[in-house]
Formats: sequence, C-alpha cells, structure tokens
Amino acid sequence: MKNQNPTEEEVLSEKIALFRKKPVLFPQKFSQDTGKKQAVSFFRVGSEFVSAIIASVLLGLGVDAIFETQPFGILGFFIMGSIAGFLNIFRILRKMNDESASKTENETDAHL
Amino acid sequence: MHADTQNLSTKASQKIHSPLHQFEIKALMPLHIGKYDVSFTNASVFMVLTVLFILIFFTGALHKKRIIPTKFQLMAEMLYGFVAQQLEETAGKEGKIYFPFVFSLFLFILGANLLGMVPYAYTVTSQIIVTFSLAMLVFVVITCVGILRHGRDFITYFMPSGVPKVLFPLIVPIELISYLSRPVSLSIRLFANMMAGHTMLKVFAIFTVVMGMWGVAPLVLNIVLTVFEIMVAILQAYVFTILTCIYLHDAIHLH
Amino acid sequence: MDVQAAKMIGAGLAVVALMGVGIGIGNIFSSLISAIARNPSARDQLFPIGLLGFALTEAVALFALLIAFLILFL
Repeated sequence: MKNQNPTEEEVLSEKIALFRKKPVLFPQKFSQDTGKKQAVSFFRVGSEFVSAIIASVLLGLGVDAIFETQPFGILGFFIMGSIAGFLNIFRILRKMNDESASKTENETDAHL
Repeated sequence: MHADTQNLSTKASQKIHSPLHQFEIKALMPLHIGKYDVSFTNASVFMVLTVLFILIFFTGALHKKRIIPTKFQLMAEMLYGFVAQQLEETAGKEGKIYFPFVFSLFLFILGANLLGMVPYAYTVTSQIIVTFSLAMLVFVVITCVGILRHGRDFITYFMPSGVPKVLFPLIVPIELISYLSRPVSLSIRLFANMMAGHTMLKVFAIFTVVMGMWGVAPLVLNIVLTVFEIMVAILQAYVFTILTCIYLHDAIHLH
Repeated sequence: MDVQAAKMIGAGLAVVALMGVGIGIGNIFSSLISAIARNPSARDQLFPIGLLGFALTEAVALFALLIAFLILFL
C-alpha cells in the first residue's frame, strides 16, 4: 500500500518505472560517436599542416638569428616542417582508417 | 585635398566601426612592472568574469546536493560526466588523475567562448596570446607528464620503431618539429575559429546598418550565424579538450 | 600613395588566393558526396581521403591569410 506522502525518491523511481515501460524512441544506439570523432578530425586536419610549417619557420628564423646562417636555416627548416606537416596529417588519417577498419571487421563478425 | 580625404575617412570610421574594432584591447588600469606592461585590460576583465561565472554556476548548482537533481545540478553533472567519459575513452584509466586539469581547461574555454557570444562582451579566446598561453600550458604539462612517467625513455618517443638507424638524423628532427607544432596548431585553431566567426558576425551587422530597409536580409542571416557560432564555440572547446586528452594518452603510453 | 593604403591593397590582393581554395574545396566535397552516393558502404574509407584533400587545400587558404597578416602588421 502506498503511503499518502510519497518521498521524492519514490516519485522518481515510479517515473523511472513508467519510462522503462514506454516504447523505446531510439532502438539502436546513436551513432553520434563517429560523427563527433569525424568533426574533431575535420577541425584537426585543417590546421595541422600549416602549424608544423609555422613552428619550423619560427625555429629556422631563430637559428638564423643566432648562428647567422642567413638563408639556410629557414630553408632547411621549411622543408623539414612541410615533411612534418604531411606526417601529422598522415598519422591522423591512418588512425581514422584503422578505427573504421576495425569497426567494419567487428560488424561483419557480428553478422556472421 | 589630402587632409580632406583623411578627414572624411576618419568621419566614416567614426560612424561605422571596422569589423576588427571589437578585438581592440584597452588598458583599464595601466600598470607597469619594470619594462613590462601588465595593465588590467578589458580582456582581463572578461577572463575574471569567466572564472567568476563558472564558480557561481557550480556553487549555485551544487551547494545543495539532491538525489533528484535540479536543472542546474543536472547541467553541472552532465558537463562533469561528459568530460570524464571522454577522458577515460581517449586517455585510458591512467589518465583519470589529470581530470581536474582537463575539466578546468574545458570549462574555461567553454565559458570564455560562450561569454563572448553575449553582445558587447569581449571574446577572450579571439586573442592569439590567450589561446597560445593555454596551449603552452597543455604542452608543458604533457611534456612534464611524459618525462616524469618515463624518465630517459621519453626520448624514444621521437624515435619511431621500425625505422632503420641510418635515417635517425633525418627522422628525429622531423618528429621534434611535429611535437613542437602541437601548441601552435592548438592555439591557431581556437583563435582562428573564434576570430573569423566574430568578424563575420560584425560584417553582417554592418551590412544591416548600412543597407537600411534591405538590411532585413543580413539580419536574418546574422541570426542563423549566431546559432552557428554558438555551435562552433561549444565544438571548439570540445576539440581543444579532446586533443589535450589525446596528447595525454601519447605522453602516458608513448604511442 | 600612402604606404598604409598600399599595404591594405596588398593584403586584399593576397587573399584573392581564397578564390581558388573555394573552388577546390567545393570540388573535393562534391566529388566526395557523389562518390558516397554511388557507393554508401565505402563511406568510411572515402572520408579520410576527402579529408586529406581538404586539409591540403585548406593549408593554401591559411598561407594566404598568413601572408595577408604579414603584409598588414609587419
């Protein structure tokens, strides 16, 4: 028998029980997770290439100023910076590829 | 003639501010220590306001903890749970002890971005020096974590396995530059997104003022852009935190 | 001509590069969309490749922006 003044906890558990009985709105788990990850890598990839070059060019300017090797420091560091930028992007994309590959593998396993 | 045109241009600029005017820093309390200018500026005001806002929100939401949460308590708990989940997913179980750092970083950036969306407010994160300081903080913390956890083995982070030793003089500097580019990319991403968004909003606001009756069209666009900007503000705070978590993972596990 | 005015014109000209970037990014995403529409199951493999193209094109935009800022403020 229910008492006249149900406490807050009882009201909440009743609500939870009601909610559990309701038909489920989203039967599958949201695939929001991949969307979020794609958004992150989308924003990541855009600036990664340039930032490597900026960092290396600043380093090259510093080296030039200290050792007075006028054009060579900035040239060498620029080339290395662009290689590092490519490396950055390739790492991100390889990671994405690996993740998607493992995901599809799991899915096919589940189907079999 | 020359003075005339100058006069005209200053008049015009007085009537309509340039879209970059909103990023101007004004010293409210001039203060110099030695040769350094450490004045209390309008940017500092909004940083203090951001921190105060976060403090008030969390103390207000959590001062009376209840089993059935109020709306504010629910929001605070959701923020906490969200960041905790992301941290555990990306950095693993060992990353959990760095939760206070990551959470306060997330809250500060989110608060600053959202506070910047209030009209007449100053967007702190649209200054590259602020975002660069935040990124340098992350960089220093992560390097310290890596060195403290692994000691001398941290150097192997710059020597990828499976590469012949002959190539090391070429690979190590590249890895080093790639490591050093992290704070740059973190800071530039946040700064560029916030600054571009706010400049765009201001440009369309100027269109609204100039076009008179036809200004309704840019006004509608501006409303849409405001929603978009709020989304970008939240997303950028999220991206910054996620990247901090990824870097933490790299520092803890060394690849 | 004023040096300041020349600087502003130069910065404006530097960002003309964004025209090509706009065309390029539009091209990349239009091809990505049509590729995914033809073969939706290849979405996860195609997205990183599209992102690579986007990143390299975006880099050109950021370089132009950088040059414009250098002209304006240095």
